[in-house]
Amino acid sequence: MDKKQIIKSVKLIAFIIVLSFIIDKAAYFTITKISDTVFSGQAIGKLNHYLSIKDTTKLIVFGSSRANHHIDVKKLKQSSYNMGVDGKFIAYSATLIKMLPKDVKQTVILHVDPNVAYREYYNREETKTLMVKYHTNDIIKKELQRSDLVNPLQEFYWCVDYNGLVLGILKNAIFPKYDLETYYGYDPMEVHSTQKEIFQNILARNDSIKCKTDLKLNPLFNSYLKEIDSFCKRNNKKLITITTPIYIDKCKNDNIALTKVLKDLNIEYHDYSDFFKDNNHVDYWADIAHMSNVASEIFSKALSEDLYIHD
Amino acid sequence: MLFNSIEYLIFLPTVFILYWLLNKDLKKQNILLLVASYFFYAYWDWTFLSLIIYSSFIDYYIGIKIYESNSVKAKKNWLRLSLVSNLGLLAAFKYFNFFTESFAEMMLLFGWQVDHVTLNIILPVGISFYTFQTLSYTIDVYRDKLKPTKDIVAFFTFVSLFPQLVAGPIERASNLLPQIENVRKFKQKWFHDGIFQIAVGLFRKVVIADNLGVYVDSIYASPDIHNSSTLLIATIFYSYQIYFDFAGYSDIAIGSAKLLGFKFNQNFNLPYFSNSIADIWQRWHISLSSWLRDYLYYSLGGSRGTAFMTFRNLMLTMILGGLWHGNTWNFAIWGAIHGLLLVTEKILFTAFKIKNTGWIGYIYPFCLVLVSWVFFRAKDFEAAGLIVKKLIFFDFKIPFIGDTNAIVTGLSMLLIGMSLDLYLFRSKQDLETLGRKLSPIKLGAAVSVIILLISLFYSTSNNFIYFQF
Repeated sequence: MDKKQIIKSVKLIAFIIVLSFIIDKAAYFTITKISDTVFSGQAIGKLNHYLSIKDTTKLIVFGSSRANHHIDVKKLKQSSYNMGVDGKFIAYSATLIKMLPKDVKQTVILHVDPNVAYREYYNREETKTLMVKYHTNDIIKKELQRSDLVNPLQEFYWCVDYNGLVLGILKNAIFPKYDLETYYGYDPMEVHSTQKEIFQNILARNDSIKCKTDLKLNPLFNSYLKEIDSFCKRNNKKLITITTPIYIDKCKNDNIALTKVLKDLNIEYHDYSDFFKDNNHVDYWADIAHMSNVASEIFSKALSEDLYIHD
Repeated sequence: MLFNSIEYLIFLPTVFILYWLLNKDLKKQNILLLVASYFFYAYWDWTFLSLIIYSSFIDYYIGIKIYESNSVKAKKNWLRLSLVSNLGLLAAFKYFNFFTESFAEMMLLFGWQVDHVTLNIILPVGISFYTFQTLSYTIDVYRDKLKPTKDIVAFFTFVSLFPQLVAGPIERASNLLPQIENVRKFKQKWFHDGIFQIAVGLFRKVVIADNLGVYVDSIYASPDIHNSSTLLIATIFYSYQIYFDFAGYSDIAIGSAKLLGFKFNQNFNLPYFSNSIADIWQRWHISLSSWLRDYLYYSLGGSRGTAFMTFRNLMLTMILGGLWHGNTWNFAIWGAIHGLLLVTEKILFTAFKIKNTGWIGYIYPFCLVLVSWVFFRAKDFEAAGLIVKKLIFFDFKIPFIGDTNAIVTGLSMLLIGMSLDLYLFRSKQDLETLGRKLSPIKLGAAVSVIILLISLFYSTSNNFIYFQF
């Protein structure tokens, strides 16, 4: 390799680094501009919507799809929002809860899944979608830096923040799914024929389930739970934890263990796993863990009467 | 170490700089390559490094012994020793459980219950690749096609050169060894090609293949609960996933080698634009298919005997080629399907004097290969059977989409990947030629756009599919 070749090669590499940096930033700011106008869709829209209403809403539900599809929050309180998102668990919820205003009285309903609480591997991977705000929201940045989800290249290539989300953002910017004025985060599940068929096939399989006996509370789950509890206690929030119904809960060990943990922490907990135990119907379910819109309405009404946190 | 890891992003430039700093001293350069390659492998598991060293030593020694032997018998004995050592290694680590289980199952068919031993063996990454590579060396020396090297560092580097160590391409000694033994010169054009090919390879792997894999994995995990349309989509996706995964890996390997001044042979040549099954095998995993042709098919007699013998040789080659990929009957069936397709095609082409398959030739090979991929991907024979049954008795129901975002991303990226392939096919050039044609400005712009696409659409996924082989 002679001197001329070295110079040429270094120039090429430098050109690629500079140009890719410029293209990255141009793309990042363009996507951010579009993204900030999006208020529809589970990944970005809902997060933007939440950030816009979090300071003024009296009751907010957090959790996974089981919170999102099961709890019609308007049945609980008029000023309410359902911030349940598909595939999001306690780390995601904890990050969002920490963004709530200090000293404003609010009710936080957190959906907890005993299955996640006693999972051997839980690595808060679901918080990855919060990356979209990595360079614009300090709380999110701090939370993500605690995990090992931040790509080392992300400090240089900011577009990594939008990894896997761009097409969804564009789609929701052009064709918003719902009216922002009337949407309050609750997405009841209408079960279509393919989904019904899949569920029936799963039931026909009649898989045997081996219940875990050696239950260990996942340390990450435990730590986030304590953080949420502490935040709520310090900032005038009423924390209620619930578990929504599932089709059949063959393993009750984890529910019992989680109940004890929450009781020891003095956190209010309502376990509705067996809500439909005596009145179950296949049509009430989209799959084993998710109720159909019909069942969700029945459950939400009962939840409203049970918790009694009306205006 | 994976090509699509941060570690490799640090490793490759480091080796590149040190390597060219030593370009006045070939010996030192080769030692650096050897150490870097062993580090590359040991980063995954250093204990299995001993197998590579063992395999390298055996074939280095046997190569010399074959050459020095005066009698054919002695040469043959040395070759046998090489075959036993290499294939024995492969049999022990890859096929032991397969043999014992299959034997027990066969005995059960005759009503005899046989207790069999299964060992908890971890498959050393890349064993199938470097075993074939070293075997080709001794066979070539035996066939007088190659003079053995006496440079032990060069030979050990040939076996373990990191760009091709864990998943090929299976480089022949006749191509690679002279390049290691002779002074390499830095070529600006190769540097450009290399960067372009690495970037495209990464895009193919982490953007196209991994995004398609999200849907494929979810459907193939429970084929029993999905309908025919869903399984068809998943199988089509898999056929592209495996292509872009392995072609992408090969691109990165070839590109990395080019940065170090090595020219590897092309491993994929747009296989889904083939116009016959035979053509697919000229374009898919070329280094393996040509290995099987030269060292197995020809050794069995090739097409020198009767038509029946030719077909038998083809079938055997393809079944063993299938088993090379993995130690389950699914891989053997996959190979048998390809053997059968090749034989049938040969018979029909001869009987009807078909020379040009026309437009239909671009459709039927893909459709037939699609069915064979079911056996390659399904977790076991039962699952594969179920999927094939559902594909044959098609129910025309609405497919399950799942995560819309993932499927739309996968499809969009596939479209980009296939558009590039279509452009290469129509312009009758390969990726290397395209990379070479680009001016530094255009190359910089192309690589920058690829980096942007990777940032926006990469999917975090498991290893390269071919690592398991």
